[in-house]
Amino acid sequence: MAALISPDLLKRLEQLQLLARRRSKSTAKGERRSGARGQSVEFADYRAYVPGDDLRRIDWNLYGRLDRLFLKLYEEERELPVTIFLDASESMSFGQVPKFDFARQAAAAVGYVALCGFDRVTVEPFPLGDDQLSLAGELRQVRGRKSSIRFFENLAKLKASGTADFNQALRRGAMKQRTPGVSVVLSDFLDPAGYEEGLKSLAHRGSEIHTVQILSPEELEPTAYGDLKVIDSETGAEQEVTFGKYRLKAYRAAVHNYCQRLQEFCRARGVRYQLARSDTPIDDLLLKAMRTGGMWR
Amino acid sequence: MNFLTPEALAFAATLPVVVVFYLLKRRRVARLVSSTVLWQRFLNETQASSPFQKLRHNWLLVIQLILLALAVFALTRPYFAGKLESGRFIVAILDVSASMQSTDVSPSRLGQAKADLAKLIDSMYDNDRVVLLLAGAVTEVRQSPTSAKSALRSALGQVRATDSPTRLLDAIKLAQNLTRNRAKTEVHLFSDGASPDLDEFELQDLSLAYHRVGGSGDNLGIVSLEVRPHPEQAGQQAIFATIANASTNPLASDVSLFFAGRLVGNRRVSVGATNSASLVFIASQGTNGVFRLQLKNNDALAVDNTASVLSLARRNTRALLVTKGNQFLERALRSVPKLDLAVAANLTDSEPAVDFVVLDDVVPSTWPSGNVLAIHTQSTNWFRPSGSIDGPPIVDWKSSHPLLRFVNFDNVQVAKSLAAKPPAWLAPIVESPSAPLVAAGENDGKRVVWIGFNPLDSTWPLRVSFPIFIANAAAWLNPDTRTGIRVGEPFHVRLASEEKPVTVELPDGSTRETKTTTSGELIFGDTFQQGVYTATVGTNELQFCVNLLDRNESDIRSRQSLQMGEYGTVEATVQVSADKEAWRWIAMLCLGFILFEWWFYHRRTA
Repeated sequence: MAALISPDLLKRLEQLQLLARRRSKSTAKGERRSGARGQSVEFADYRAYVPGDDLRRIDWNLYGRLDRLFLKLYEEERELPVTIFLDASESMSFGQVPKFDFARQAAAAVGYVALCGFDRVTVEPFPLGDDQLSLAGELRQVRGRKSSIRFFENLAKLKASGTADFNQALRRGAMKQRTPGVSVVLSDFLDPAGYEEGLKSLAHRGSEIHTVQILSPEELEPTAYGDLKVIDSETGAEQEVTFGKYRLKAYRAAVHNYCQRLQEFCRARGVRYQLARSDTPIDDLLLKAMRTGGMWR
Repeated sequence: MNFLTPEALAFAATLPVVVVFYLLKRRRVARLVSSTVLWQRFLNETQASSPFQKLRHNWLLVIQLILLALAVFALTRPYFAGKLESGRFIVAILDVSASMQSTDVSPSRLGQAKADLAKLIDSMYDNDRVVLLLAGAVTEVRQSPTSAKSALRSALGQVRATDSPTRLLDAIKLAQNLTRNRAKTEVHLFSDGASPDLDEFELQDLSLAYHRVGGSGDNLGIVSLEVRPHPEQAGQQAIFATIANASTNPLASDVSLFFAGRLVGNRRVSVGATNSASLVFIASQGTNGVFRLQLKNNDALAVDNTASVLSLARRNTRALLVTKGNQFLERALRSVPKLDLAVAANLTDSEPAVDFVVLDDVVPSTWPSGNVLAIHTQSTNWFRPSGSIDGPPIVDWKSSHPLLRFVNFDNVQVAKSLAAKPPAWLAPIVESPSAPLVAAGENDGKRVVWIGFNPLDSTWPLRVSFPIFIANAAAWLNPDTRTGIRVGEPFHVRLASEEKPVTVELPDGSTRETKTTTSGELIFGDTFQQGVYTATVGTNELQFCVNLLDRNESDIRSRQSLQMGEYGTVEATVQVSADKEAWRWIAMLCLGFILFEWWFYHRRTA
C-alpha cells in the first residue's frame, strides 16, 4: 500500500468526497442521494395516505392542522458504482517514471476515496492477460474501507503488457455496468484505432466520465534526434522520421493538437478531461487538478 | 544568343540526380517507442507522405536546381555576337640555357623564372594571347599563341633546362617577327641575361620587358679543354684546360683528370676574381678513350664543372700530294708530325687509301672523293669557269677559324689569283676585295680547303705562317679529329657507305634510333646534354663528346641590363603591373557558401 500511495496522502484523500452530478440509480444501499424514496434523514416530499401504508411515517402534525392523513417521504440513500478503466497495455510501461505506475497510483487514490464514501469500486484493467483474470476478479465490486488494503495489493500486482483495444475495452465495460455511475479512464489515449467509439459508448450509458490522459516526458518532448525508424511497442508498426531539435516546436504543436482534439471531444460529451505528465508528483493531480476538475471536493 | 560549347548541356542530366538525392532513403536508427501515434500526427502535419509530394514547397531543392541549371548554362559558354577590343599579344621567352640551372636562387633560376612566368599567365585577361618560346641553343616554340591558361601552364610545367649555351638573339628575332604588324604587343624575356649575341640586334620599336632572375653566384667553370700530342715527348698527350672564375671573389678547387674512368692527375687550382687559369696535364695514352676533367667544388652551376674530350690513340695521318713539283709545300707537309706523305704527279684513283689529298695546281681527271686541300685548282662541280685577278691585296682573314690559328697574312703578297665565286658551303676565310683567296667548308661529309692562288705566285711560302697553315690544314682535314662538339650543335660524321640504322646512347643512358643518310653519314641533332655519346652502327661503335665549354654560360652573374645593339639598353623589370581578377575567389566563396547551406540544411533536419 505504501508503494502506491503514501500515508500522508491517504489521510488527505480520506477527507475527500466523490462528486456525482446525477443522483445514484443504484439499488444497493449507500450514502448517496438517489431518486428513490426510502429511509433516511433527508426529507423529500409528502404524499396522501393510502390504506396499507406504514402508519409510522404519517405526519401527525399535519393531520392536526389539516385533518387529513399525509405520509412524510424521505430520500433513499444509495451507493455510487465507480468504475476505473486502467490502461495496462505495453505502451503504458514507457517513461522514466512509467506511465502505468502513475496510472495505478491514480486508480488507487480514486478507489480509496470511493471506498471511504461507501461506494462500490470496480477496476477494469485492459488488456487482460490470462494470468491476470483472477486478479481482475478481485478488483471487481469492491466495497468498504476495510477492503482498501486488499484493493491496493491487487492493484500493485497488475502489470502493463500486451496490445490494448481501447474502444472495445470501454464498450465492454459500459455493457457490464448495470447502473450508470462514475467512470474514470486512465490511459495515454495513444491507440492507433482511436478513442472516440469507446468514450461514446461509455457516455451513452449515462455514466459520469472522468478521463486522465497520462503521457511521459519522452512523449511530450523527445530527445532522440537524427534519422530515426520509430517502432511501435504494441503493434510493431514502423514509422520513418527525421527529427532534430529544430523540429521540436512542430512536434510539440502536433502533440498539443492531439490532446486538444481529445479534450474537445470530451467536452462535447460532458466528459471531464485532465492531462498529466507521468513525472509530476501524484499529489498535484489528485489534490489540485482533479479537485478543480470536479472529480471530488 | 549562341553557345561555344553546347555539348555542356549534357550536364543537365545531373538535375534529376539532385531530385533523386532528395528522394533517397537515409539510413535510419531504429528506436522503440511507446506508440507511433504521436509521430504519425507530427509527420502528417509537417510533411506529406507520398514521394513526390515530399518535393512540394521544398525551397532548398528549388534553389539547388536553379544553381545547377545556372552552372550548366555557364558551362555552355553562351555569348552574344558583338565587337570586342582585341587583347594583348604577349610573347614570353624563357631562357633554358645551362646558366639557368644555377642554384644561387631557390630552387633554381629556371624554377624562379617559371614561377614569374606563371604569375604573368595568371594575370592574363581572357582576350590576351600568349606564345611561349624556349631559348636554348635553338629556339623552340613550346606553345603557339593561345588564350587558354591551362594549356600555357601545362606547357610551362614541362619545361626543363638544357645544358646548352644561350642564344637569345634568335628568340628575340622570332618574337619580333611574331609581333610585327600587330597592335598591343609585349615581349617578356625571363632570363639571367648571359647571352653574348644581343649586341647584334637593334631593338627598334620592340616592347621588351626583361625579367631578371638570379643574383651573382660564385662559379668556377671549365671553359676550354683540348688534347694534343705532346710536342716534345712522343707517346704522351698534353691536355690543355682553362678554368674561368667570373665572380668577384677568388675561388679555388681541386681539379681531377680521368682517362677512361681512371684518375690520371689531380691539381689544386686557384683562380683570381674575374680571371681564368690554364692547366696542362701530361698523360700517356695507349688506347682510344675519353679524358674527363672534373672540378671538385660545390658551386652554383654544376654543369660546367665537368668536360670530356675523346682522344684517339695516335696513328700516322696518311696524305697524298699530287703536284708538278713544289718544294715548299712538300717540305711543309713533311714537317707535320705523324704524317705519312706520298707524292704523285697525277691522280689516277678516285679513292686513294689516304686520309686526305693535296692537289697542287693540277686538275685531276676524277675529283677525289675524300677530304681535299685544293691549291690553285677547282672542281667544275663547285665553281663556274672564271678568270683571274692580278695582285689581289689580302684585306681580311678569319683568325678564329681553326685553319688560321697562329696564321698571319700581314706581309703576304699574292701576284695572281683565280677570280672564282665559291659555293655557299665553302666559306671564305682569307679575302681580297674582289674574290676570296682561301675558303674552307664541308660538303656531303667531306672537308675541302681551297686556295685560290698558287703559293709559288706569292710570298707566302717564305713566311712562317705557311707551314703553320699547312699543319693546321693537315689536322683539320684529318677525319679522326672531329669527335667533340658543343651542346646543341649537330654532330655529323661519315660512318658507312650506305643507309644503315644507328643507335645513339645519350649521356643519361637513354637511346635514340636514327639512320645514316644514303651516303652513310650520321647527322645527329639531339645533343642538348653534356657528356659522352655512343653511336652504334652494326658492330662498330663511335664515341663523341658534347661539352658546354662556354665562358658566357660560366659567367653566371645575372645581368642588370641587356645591351641591345649599339644604343639600346633594356633594364630589368622589377615587377609587372597586372590587374589580377578576383572572380575565382568569389566563385570559390560561392561554392563554400553552397556547401555551408547543405550542411545547415542537414543540421536543421538531423
